Amino acid sequence: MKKLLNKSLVQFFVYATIVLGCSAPLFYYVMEFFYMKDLDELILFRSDEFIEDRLLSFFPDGIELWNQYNEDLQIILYSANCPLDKCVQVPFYNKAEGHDVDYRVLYRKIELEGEPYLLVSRIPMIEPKDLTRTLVSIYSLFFFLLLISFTIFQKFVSKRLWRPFYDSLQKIESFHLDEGNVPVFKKNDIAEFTRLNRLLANLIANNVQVYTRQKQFIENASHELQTPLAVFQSQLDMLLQQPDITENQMNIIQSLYSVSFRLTRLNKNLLLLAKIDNSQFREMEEIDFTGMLKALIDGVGFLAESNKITISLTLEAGMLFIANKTLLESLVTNLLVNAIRHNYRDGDVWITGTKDYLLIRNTGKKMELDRQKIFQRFNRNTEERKGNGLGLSIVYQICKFHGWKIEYDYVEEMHQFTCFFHVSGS
Amino acid sequence: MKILVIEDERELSGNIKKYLEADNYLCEQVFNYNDATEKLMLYQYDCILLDLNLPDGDGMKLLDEIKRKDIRSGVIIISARDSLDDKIKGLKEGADDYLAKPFSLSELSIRVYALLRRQSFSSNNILKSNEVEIDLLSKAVKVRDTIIVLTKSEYDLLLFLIGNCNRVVSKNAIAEHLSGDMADMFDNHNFVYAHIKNLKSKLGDAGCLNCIRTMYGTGYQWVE
Repeated sequence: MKKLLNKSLVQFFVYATIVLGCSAPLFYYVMEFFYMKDLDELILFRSDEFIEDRLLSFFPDGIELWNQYNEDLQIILYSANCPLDKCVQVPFYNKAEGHDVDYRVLYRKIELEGEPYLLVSRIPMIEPKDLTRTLVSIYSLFFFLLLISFTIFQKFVSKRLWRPFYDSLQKIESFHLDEGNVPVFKKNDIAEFTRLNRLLANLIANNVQVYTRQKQFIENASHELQTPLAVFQSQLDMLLQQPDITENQMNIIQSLYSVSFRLTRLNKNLLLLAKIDNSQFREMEEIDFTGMLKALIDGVGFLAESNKITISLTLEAGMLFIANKTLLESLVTNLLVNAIRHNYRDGDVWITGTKDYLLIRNTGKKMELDRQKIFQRFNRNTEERKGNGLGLSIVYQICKFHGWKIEYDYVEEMHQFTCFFHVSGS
Repeated sequence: MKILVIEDERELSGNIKKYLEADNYLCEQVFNYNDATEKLMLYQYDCILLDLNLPDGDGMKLLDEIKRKDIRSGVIIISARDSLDDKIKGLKEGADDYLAKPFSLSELSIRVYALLRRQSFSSNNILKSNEVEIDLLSKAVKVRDTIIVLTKSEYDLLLFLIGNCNRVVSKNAIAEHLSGDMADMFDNHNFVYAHIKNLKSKLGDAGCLNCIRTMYGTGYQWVE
């Protein structure tokens, strides 16, 4: 990709070359023409002067001497072949050049003592190769000057002219819809740029508004769903109280309970995501991460036990973080439960916590997960229904919220998630 | 014991009433803010179940009023708002408990039970049901004067079942009660079965048989 300013510069040079190239022959002929006119005037003047001033006192025996000293104004014997009284171009041998050169020549008929003679007035024309050489050097100089001056012009004037454009460009570049910071464009006095900025500002403001409304909608929808879910669950609780329920009916009730539970969990997670999106977790506090990790690992202990999964823990003492407690807990729990859930019986989970990162590795399915999709919402790697497909995107959003980085790796047939707490540039 | 249910969702309110009345509470229902203030002016309640989103007013304001008028009822907020902020705000404003929707009726019942027990200062801290005697302060459980040792989960489970006695409690409700927020993380609630089995065998060893009725592995009932 070329930059706009460079492109205009290159195009200008191509254009200038073409124009100069095409005009060169024209220049050549025009110059030659005017030179010729000039010479014609001169030879006419010389022959007129000779006829007026010298002819009366000139004698035929002085011709030889005259011709010897006046190479370009000669008197020769009359010949009918020569056109009289008009300027013509005839080649003559030129001693200085050592070869034939085109001369502008004027023949005049004069009479000396009754005999007809011809007065030849001539001046050599400029040689074509000399003219070409001159033109080429002038052109080169001109082209060179043009190049320099236009580059300088481009550097200063155009750059200043296009500055508002580049300014806007940079602002759009740093705009992120999910951060919702509408860029403020600089004012400028160019109609097109002002129009562009106005349109951009409108476009962005509209997008931000739609996005905000959308986020708000998800949150509201999740909230609204809680009440019907509550009714649904209470009805199930009441149904359970009916006497004489058969086993079949009970199975149906249990499956309804599972559905209700799944819906509730899904809704809660959507709500959590919406709230992170809407930056509703502003309270940051200092958290004893060592203590929190231990407590959370204790919390999932019996889940691990029931699957005979061994959890090994390496913790640095006294880890203190500034973070949102609810979110940090949710992050760790999600990762922990994932490590246990997507594991096999008698599997292992290793947890390493330091000031810089939290690493959770686990045995599991011997297949690398898709790094691109793994943190996307409702992305399922398998047809198995474990979890609701929101856990890792919650983890991702929480990391993003705190300016941390989460990475997935598949090393030595083990799945590992690393959360880096100190990301350079954040 | 009189309970006022302030909840605009009639079906939910009706179910709460039915479920709690099975435990011999007297429930009254109101469905909006105005009726609630009227009832509160006229009558005394031991416990108020308060929904925050009422059609004609904010439940928080009602809570304010309850505290300002020095009404000595325990208040449990039942709300669709489930963020920590809302909970903290509700409890700060003087609510005794906060239950986010959706909740199981068994959970609500045990919360009401716990609240009422805390409120009646005169009550002794011994809970008796069938041949089981529980000292709520020391958390000691006796069956026919034999002390039996229960894990924390088993103890909580026992209290949950007795608190909902004669009503069927779902496996899911037990799982949520025992694991709190972590319940979200489970794919199934089969671990409840193990706890029930252990509790049953410990009670059975001490001579308390057939207290817990299992209904096809889905519901459990403490039969008094």
